[in-house]
Amino acid sequence: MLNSFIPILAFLFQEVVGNDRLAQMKHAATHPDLSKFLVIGALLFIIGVAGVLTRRNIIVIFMSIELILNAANLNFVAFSRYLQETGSVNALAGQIFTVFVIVVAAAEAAIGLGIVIALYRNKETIWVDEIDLLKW
Amino acid sequence: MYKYIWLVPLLPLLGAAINGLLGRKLRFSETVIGGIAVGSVALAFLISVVAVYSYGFGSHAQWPNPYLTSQDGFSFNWIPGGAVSINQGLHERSAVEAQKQAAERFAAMTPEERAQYQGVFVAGNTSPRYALLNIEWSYQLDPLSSIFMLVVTGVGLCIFIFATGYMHGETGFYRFFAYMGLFMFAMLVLVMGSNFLMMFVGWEGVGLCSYLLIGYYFDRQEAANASRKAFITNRVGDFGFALAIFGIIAVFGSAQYTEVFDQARAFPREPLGQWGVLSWIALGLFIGACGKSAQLPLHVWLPDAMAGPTPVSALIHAATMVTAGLYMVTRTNVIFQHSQTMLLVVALVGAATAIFAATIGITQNDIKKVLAYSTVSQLGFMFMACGVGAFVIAIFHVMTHAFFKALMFLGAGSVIHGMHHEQDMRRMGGLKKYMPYTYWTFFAGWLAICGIIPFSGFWSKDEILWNAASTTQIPLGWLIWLVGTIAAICTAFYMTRLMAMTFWGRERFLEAHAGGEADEAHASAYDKGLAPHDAVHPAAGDRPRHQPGEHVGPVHEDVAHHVTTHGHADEDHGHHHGAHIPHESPPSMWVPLVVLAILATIGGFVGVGPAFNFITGAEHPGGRLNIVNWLNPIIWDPATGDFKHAEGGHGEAAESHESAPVAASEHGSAPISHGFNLAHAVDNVVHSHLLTEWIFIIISLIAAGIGILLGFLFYVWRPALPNIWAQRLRPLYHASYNKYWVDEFYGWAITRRTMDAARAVFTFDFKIVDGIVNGLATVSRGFSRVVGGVDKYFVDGLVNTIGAFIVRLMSPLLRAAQTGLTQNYALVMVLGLMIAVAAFFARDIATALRNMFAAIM
Amino acid sequence: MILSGYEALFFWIFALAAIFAALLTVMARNAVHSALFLISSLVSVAALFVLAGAEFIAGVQILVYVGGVMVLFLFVIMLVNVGAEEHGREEIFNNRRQVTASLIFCFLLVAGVLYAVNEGYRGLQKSRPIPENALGAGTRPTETGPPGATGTSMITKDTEAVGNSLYRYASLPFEIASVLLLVAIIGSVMLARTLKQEASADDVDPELLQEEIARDSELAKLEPQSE
Repeated sequence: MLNSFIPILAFLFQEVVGNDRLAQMKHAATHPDLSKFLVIGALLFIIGVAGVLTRRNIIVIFMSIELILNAANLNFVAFSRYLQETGSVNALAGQIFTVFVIVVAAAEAAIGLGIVIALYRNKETIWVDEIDLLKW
Repeated sequence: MYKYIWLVPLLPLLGAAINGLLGRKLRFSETVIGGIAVGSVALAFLISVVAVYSYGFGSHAQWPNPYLTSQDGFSFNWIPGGAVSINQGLHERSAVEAQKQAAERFAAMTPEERAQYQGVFVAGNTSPRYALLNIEWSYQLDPLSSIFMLVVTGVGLCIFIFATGYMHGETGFYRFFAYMGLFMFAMLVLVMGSNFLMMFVGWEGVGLCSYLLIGYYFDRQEAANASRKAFITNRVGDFGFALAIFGIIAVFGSAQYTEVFDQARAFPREPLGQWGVLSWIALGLFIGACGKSAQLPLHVWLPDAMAGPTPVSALIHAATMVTAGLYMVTRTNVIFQHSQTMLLVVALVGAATAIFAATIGITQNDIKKVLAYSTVSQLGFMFMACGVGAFVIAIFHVMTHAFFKALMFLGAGSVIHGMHHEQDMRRMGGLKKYMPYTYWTFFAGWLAICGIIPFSGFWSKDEILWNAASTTQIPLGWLIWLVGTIAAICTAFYMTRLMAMTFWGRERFLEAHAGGEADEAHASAYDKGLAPHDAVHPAAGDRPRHQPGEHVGPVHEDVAHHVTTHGHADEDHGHHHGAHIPHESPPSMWVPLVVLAILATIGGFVGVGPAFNFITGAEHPGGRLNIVNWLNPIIWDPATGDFKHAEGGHGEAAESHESAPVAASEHGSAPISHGFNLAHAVDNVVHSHLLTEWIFIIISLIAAGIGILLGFLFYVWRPALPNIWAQRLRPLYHASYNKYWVDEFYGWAITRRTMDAARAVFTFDFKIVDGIVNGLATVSRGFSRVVGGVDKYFVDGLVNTIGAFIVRLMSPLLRAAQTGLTQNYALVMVLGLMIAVAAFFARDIATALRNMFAAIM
Repeated sequence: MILSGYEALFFWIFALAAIFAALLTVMARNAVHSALFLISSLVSVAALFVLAGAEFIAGVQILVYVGGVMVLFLFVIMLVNVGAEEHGREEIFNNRRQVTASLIFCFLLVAGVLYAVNEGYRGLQKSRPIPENALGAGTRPTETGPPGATGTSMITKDTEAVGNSLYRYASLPFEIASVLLLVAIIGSVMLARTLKQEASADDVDPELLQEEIARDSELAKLEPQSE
């Protein structure tokens, strides 16, 4: 199915990029490798960071942190797969780390949301720009 | 059947656990405790016998291939170490590879090319290697461990039965058998483990049990001190052993025997004076063996260990634990034989220990001390055998020694028991009449240790001396033979002395006591001027219910009378120990003696040597039943670079073997004759190999005869002679009597110096460090006054002026930064992250910027 | 690791889905929508895990994250129900300065990280090249399980290998993680208690309790209970 699109794309963009370059791009697109996983991970990470920095709702900030952790997991898993294929001795370490990251994320969510509830009960707000206890 | 060998260590542990954990709480009677302990060991012995039989002779006999319990699923990954890098021994290994490649190339050459072969070696690969270290808990049954299993459980069983009689009436009865069971477990793990770490666990375990059992009478100062001494001295050895294990893992990437020896087999041999990686490993192992087997620099603990109960001395300090060093050296004979230097060191240390301890044994008066030094001396003989390359003979001597020395220790225990806790031989004599069973069994042991044909000691000791004289593995074989022969004379002498003073002659126990070094607790009490029975102060909980000298065991009519009179005598003039009529021990004590006596008599026939082949018709008669044939498959043969063949093949006396040129080049040097070789010299004179061997056998028999005759002369025929000669050789006598002042020397050189160092460190701490600190405090206090003045009038003024200025200027800025909002702070974190990423690619970014500007300009 | 054929197609689908869902998570006005978008992002990432050959991790991701953590999130959103945001009465983003600075930093960071990935991957290919025969998923060292009904099976023995690895090399961290979870449970229970609950468990500073009673007389009823 993907292959049927490629001639059309090639026809459309042949003028813009050379034939060689197009073939390279086609190969890169139809054979995603480790670097693509890393790029996706990086983008998820940045989106998470942006969420943490810009949102006011503390719960959404927590969700953004989960996104950041997931980006890290994606990197771990991708490298684990890569090492399995290059024949490293303990290639599954990446997956094991992912398990621990998920454990830590679960613990963090439980504690964090507990804090959110305690905060809401005392301050009656979930807007972080209204919480400036650090100033004192 | 040998699938079930994992039960062998487990059963004594189970017995120990039941006795130790429940014995006191449930108030088990002595019968129950003894039954559990003896039963568990007996069952273990039974399983060992059946397992070894089916391993060696059954229809599915696996001999000589080692059988591991992991083959049948009984094992678990004890230490899953994961990936390790092998970073030691790469040079040696690469040399092996290079030689192998050269040999392959050599094999592929045409004869013409071979003639031109110059031995050009390709350089080996010395880059680090990786291995998966996975240490499993599994037991190994092979020729060596099967012998040790049988000896440990078999002799152990005899001693357990003996102990039920000997320890009768002790409050800590359950504790004693719990420790003994634990010891059996540790010892069996040591000899049955399939890797070095299990050996180490057993090694430390027996050390711990030895400590606990020596200190069994922990309310006696001597016992407590002796146990600590044993423990600390053993630590020195264990340190070396631990280092050697680290070295083995670093070189071979494994601790499993099968794997390590398979790799070590191919390493090049390290000739005399060369310290390669295997020599260092062997040195570490040998330091460990020295500590455990009481060899020369570290022998001091064993004689003191006699403060423990006598069955402990028999089991741990004669028959089993002290031979752990021999087990280890024989187990690692591949490594030891790769290092000629270490073989020589082992032989010399063994010979030195043999003569050293034998000369001390001549002058001791405590019956157990004599036996202790005899043990040290015999262990020296065994190491001597290892050093000259006759590992099988060393194990043979371990076995026969276990029989006759356990027998003699138990006999001594029986004597001590019969004499009501009297250990000084000067207060014995004439016991033959009162203790017939003990006497006749002891008699067999005496002949065995002196080396009288056909008792067991003869076969092994004679083989050791013959191998020493004929060795081609190390130089100085003649010296070692000479020292060994003199030590054998001494052995025969002091053993005859022991027999004479204990069983023959005047009945001195009827006379006034001689005083002195008898029972340790007594002696110390005597030194302190206390009444002897004050020696044992009541301690909490476990202490012997009976006092030294009090009667234990079945009461005979005459003895009962003595006991009652003893009570009165006690009030009158204090110490009246000697004046008991001794009695024979109960059957639970003399039956094991008889069993061991039979073994000590006939046990040597499993190792009849090649000198008797005109009678037996074979070099090592009996097929697999002969210990040499049985053990040969685990002994590495330096001549062929492989383990020896199963049935016979090469004799123990290593002739220089002709081997293929490729094989020789592959495995380094074949055994070379070093200098003067006594056996070869004699051989050249008489031109008959058999006659040469017989000459040496006759010499060793004559040596034993001389020792015995001297003993008779000094202690039976002319009892006045010992004192005369002690006067004449006063300095020598004193040196021997005081054990060459080794303890004093260690006390002076190590213990005192450690104390001095501690004191010096304390002084340094107190005077100098504290002084510096205090001085600094004084100085800084003075300084701070000055600074305070400056601060107050000058700086404060300045700060107030400038500060006010800055506060007005900067505070709005800083205040604005401190918003208290988490996200502002997070923003700064991201900024930092960004800088971190940028810093990684600073050079690339700079290049990019430069290009950009260049494009713009 | 090189995917090909339909794997490549699904990779792009789930990658784009994950990124869009993540963007919508950050930008959604309603917190519940945010959570739902996060769920779809997580599921997409789980699909990427499957493509990378980590079936077990994908399963854990869905069970723990989507099934556990996100439900917790939804509960908390319901508990602290704030209508103002979704009705447009409250600004969902921070003040303009913060947002501007954040976005600038994030853009620089994304540029830097992408550049780093590019450079790093190029270096990696040079130092540890993938063996020639490692194209496609079937060449991984782990053997595959029995074939499915269609005759081919992409399910490998990955889970078994992960389990082996986890208990062999990481058994101690595993135990520590269990302690961490226990601490998290206890901690969140302690955090989420109300003053009433605390007072009934006699877990409040007496002075503070007096102050609170002075403020709220209803609490005084609880006091005898605590003694």
